Amino acid sequence: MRLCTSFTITLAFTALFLSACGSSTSPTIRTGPQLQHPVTPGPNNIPATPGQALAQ
Amino acid sequence: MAVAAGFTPEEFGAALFPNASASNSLSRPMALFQTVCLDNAPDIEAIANAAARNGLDVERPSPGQVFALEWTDTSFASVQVNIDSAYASECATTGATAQTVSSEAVRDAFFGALGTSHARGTSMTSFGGSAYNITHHMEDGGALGVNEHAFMLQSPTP
Repeated sequence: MRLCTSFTITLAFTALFLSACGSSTSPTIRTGPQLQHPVTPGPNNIPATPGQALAQ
Repeated sequence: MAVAAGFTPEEFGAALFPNASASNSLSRPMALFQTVCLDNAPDIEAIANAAARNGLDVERPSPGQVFALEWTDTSFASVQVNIDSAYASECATTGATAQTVSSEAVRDAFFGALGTSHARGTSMTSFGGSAYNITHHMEDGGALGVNEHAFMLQSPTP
């Protein structure tokens, strides 16, 4: 059985709720724990010592 | 919990179901469970025909599947046969309701209407020589402001 809410919770757009529920060919929905989106910190480009560049 | 674009859950739910009320939004899928699933299982063709007679838009992804949908501004309901199921045979109905309605209240109403008891949302029955689970499942809609409920008739045999 397919549920609509588990897909759209993370996206929170009415149109996606409608599309998830509107057809059996829409993305597969399964019950169970919500998917957790991994958070990957980007590269840290901030100089460790902000004043160094100015000093040069 | 706030959602995107500054909407509250209540506003989001109101946008999805502008005329929905907590008291009646699950009566439709509960009734469909009885008149479509229970009255016709395991005959898939009969289930599809019953869903159509009840006014749902019926889609047949394959001969062994039914995906039937009804969407109005007061309710959402579906009838699903063997859609994303781990069981050999499953007929499910789904609907959404306000988050103020507890899972326990829904189970009391659902199993009460069926005239049977349940343990944590599941009851067992048999007919036509096959054993079935009758199960209720609630999916917390979180930021959507509505919860989705499924009423399922499941059998390990086709």
